[in-house]
Amino acid sequence: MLIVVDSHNGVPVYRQIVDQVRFQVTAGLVGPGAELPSTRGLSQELGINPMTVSKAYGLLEAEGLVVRRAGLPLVVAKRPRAVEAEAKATRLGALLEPVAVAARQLGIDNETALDLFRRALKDVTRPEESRT
Amino acid sequence: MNPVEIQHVSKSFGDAVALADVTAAVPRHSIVGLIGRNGSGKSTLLRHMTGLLLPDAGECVTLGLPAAKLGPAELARIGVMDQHAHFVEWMTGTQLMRYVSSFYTTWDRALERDLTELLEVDASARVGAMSPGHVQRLALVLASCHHPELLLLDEPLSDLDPIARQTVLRLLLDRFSRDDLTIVISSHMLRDIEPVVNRIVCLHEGRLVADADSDALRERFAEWIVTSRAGSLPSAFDDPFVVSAQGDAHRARLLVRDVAATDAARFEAAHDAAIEARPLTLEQIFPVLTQQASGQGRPRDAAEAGGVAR
Amino acid sequence: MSALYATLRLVWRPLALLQLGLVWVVVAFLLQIVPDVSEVVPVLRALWLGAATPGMLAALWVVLVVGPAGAGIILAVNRIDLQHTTASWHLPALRRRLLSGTIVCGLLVAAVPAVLVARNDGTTGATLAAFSVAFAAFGAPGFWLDTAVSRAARVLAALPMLAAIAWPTSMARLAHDSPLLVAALAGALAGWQLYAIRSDRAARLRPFRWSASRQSGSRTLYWSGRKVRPFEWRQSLATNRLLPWLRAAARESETRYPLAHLGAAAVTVLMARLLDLPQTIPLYAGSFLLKSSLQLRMPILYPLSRVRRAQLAYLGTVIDAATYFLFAGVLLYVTALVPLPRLPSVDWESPRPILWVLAWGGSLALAPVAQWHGLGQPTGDRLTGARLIGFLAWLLGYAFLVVLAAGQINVATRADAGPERALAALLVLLLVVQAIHAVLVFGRYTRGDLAGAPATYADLRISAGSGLAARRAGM
Repeated sequence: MLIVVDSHNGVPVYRQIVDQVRFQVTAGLVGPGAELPSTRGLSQELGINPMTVSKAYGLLEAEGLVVRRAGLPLVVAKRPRAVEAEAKATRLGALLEPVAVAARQLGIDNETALDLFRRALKDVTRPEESRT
Repeated sequence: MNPVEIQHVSKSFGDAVALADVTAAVPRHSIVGLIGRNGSGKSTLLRHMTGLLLPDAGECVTLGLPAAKLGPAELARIGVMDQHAHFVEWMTGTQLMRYVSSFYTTWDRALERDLTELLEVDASARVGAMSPGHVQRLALVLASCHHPELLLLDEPLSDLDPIARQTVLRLLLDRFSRDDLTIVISSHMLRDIEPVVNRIVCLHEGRLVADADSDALRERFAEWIVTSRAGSLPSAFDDPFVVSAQGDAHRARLLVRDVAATDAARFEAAHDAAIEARPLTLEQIFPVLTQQASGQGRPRDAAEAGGVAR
Repeated sequence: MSALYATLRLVWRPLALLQLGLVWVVVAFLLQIVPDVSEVVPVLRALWLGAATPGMLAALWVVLVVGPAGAGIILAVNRIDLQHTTASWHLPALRRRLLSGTIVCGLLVAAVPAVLVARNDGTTGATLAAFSVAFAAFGAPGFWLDTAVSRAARVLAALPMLAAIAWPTSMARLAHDSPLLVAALAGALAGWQLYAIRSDRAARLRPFRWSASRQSGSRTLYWSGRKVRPFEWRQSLATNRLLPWLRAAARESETRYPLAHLGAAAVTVLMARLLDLPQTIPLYAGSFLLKSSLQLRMPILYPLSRVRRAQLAYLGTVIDAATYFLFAGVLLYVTALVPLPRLPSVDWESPRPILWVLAWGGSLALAPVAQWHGLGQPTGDRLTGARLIGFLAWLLGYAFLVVLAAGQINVATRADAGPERALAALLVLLLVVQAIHAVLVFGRYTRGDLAGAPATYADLRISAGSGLAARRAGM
């Protein structure tokens, strides 16, 4: 699992880690049972405090995204489809919020905005479709 | 038991007040960033922790003992790196390491070898002939090789080039994860220490401004890009959570702190505007922390606003 | 053992060992136990066998104080340099080890003269007194150099030592008559000194005080220097004229103790008078090795051509040498009018007046040799670390030259020919040395690096003794 963090963009590092893991899990880039990097390994690799990594992992565990095993690295949890779908929806909704604000600021009405979004969807191929 | 507890410490040098009623604690196994402007009392506070300076009022408790009474046993568990780390300058690095190691029973020669190699310390040079960066790295080696429980570093990065800085920080993280170590770093290099520290203690003009978890501290602040739909933003905002404002009637950039959950929505409604909130780095909130403490609050001239995203 | 290592490691350096040797040379020279080099061994044998004369015994009492003090100063200087660094505060049990180490060294050093006293005076009381006095003398320099101890205390502790040197016969008698009193006083003094080594309060002060020794080149964090007079500079330096720049050089060369170096001239003249030894007068030029005369010494780019810099440097040395020369001359004249006591044991033959004139003239002639060492060096911290070895080498070389010249002049004046030949020789010497000096100065300034890589990074730091205003750092 690849986790990339920008220490200097203002977003708290633990939140970046949580977001990235959550995204990768909900997008299906990592399947259930995949191992997360060890706390110490990740902290050394990213040059961040191991407590930050622990904090992120703790939050992920609380959300139910990962499972702790005794003495072994954390693994991605198996989650029921309904929860998955809900998580994905939430994720997309969060990403759409700044777009909505931008639309307001630009003075674009809803119809034009939705048209633009449909066009964007058409331009981007789904991952399954690209694997032919 | 916290390794260091500072309780209502005040210290003056003649007329100059160096510390005024500072209360803070350094939790166990944490990395604390001690930040502040020049002359804010950071070095003074660090010196109180080893008992080199005695407070005029209050007390500093280190490793369970009042700092004034620290004995050889406790001092052997502390590693200190001073900003102007100067030693007997006629000794070579190796001779100095041998001399200093004779005072510690827990000195680890293998670690000493590893650190001198990692930090590129040329131990055969005389200390007096070493450049300041070289001396700094040597000082770090001397402070770490006896496996201290508490590491006090006063500006460990100031004289180092960017690569050496990263090496030192990686090294500190490595030692932090292997030993039961508590680190206090006093530094100006906010960008560099930000990912490494998990607590921030901020001083300004001798007074404590912040003693908090570093993520929690940063999350108290935000940058708001406010866009007015009607083009009617006022030139000054008197909301209590607005620290500084910059911009014109259409768009403004606000620096806000401690915004309650409902404040944002109320603000948007009151000014008929949309808010885009962005988080801030430590370097960006630092001027706000120190400005607030000196009571300047909102500056007169919005253009001189205390630093949002330069 | 760790205490001994912690203490002795500080003096296990070439500089300290060199100083140790020098100390005994100086001691032997200053105290005329041995008026002649060939008498060293017989005198020592007499002392060892217990056949010392009262004069020898009195002199032994002086050695009892000066010898251990000389050894003690070397240990003290290095110890105090360490204790003035902030890095030393948190070394576990440092002060305890330094204390133990100092005590052990003191006991060993004090034993030597005490044994000699025992063999000559016999009584255990006198031996005990001698041992205590020697031990206290060993610790005394550490006390004097310790700026964490109050000045009043240091002066107070110095008085008994000075009394013991000034009146050795009374000292010997006192030790013989009431040895326990002497032992107790010396013991109290020693206890006080040892307490200062160990004291927490003093240890907390030291990193923030100027180190009086500065042998290791270490820098203090914060010191309150004596303020120099305010910088009221009214002349414009946008000129190529020499005089304003000479005044600038004088201003830059000011130190904390402006008259201290004229004091060197005074000391040598007085010593020469007391010992009736005019040949020692040129030695005052040794102070040029410490303070390198009127020089522009800031690490900035002066708007002067190199030739101009060379001229200023040369004139600066000439003015300095002339100042000392005239001052010494006035002192010589004054002391010739006012009779001074002579030290009783001196056995030299009384020198002829011409020798005084020649010696005085020689001091001007030979001064440039000493001044050369100081050219282009930064102010202050001249005696740090490895540079001290250089300084001592120059000093020995210079002293040798003086002795050589003195010998030659002695020979020249013993001949029946009048003083004209000697004076002519002196004049030639003066001109030759000045010519070489001018060539060297101009050569250095016109062809050498004016601001090259510093020998050590210590050069770049503003030294504690530069006489500029007090500065605070790192609070």
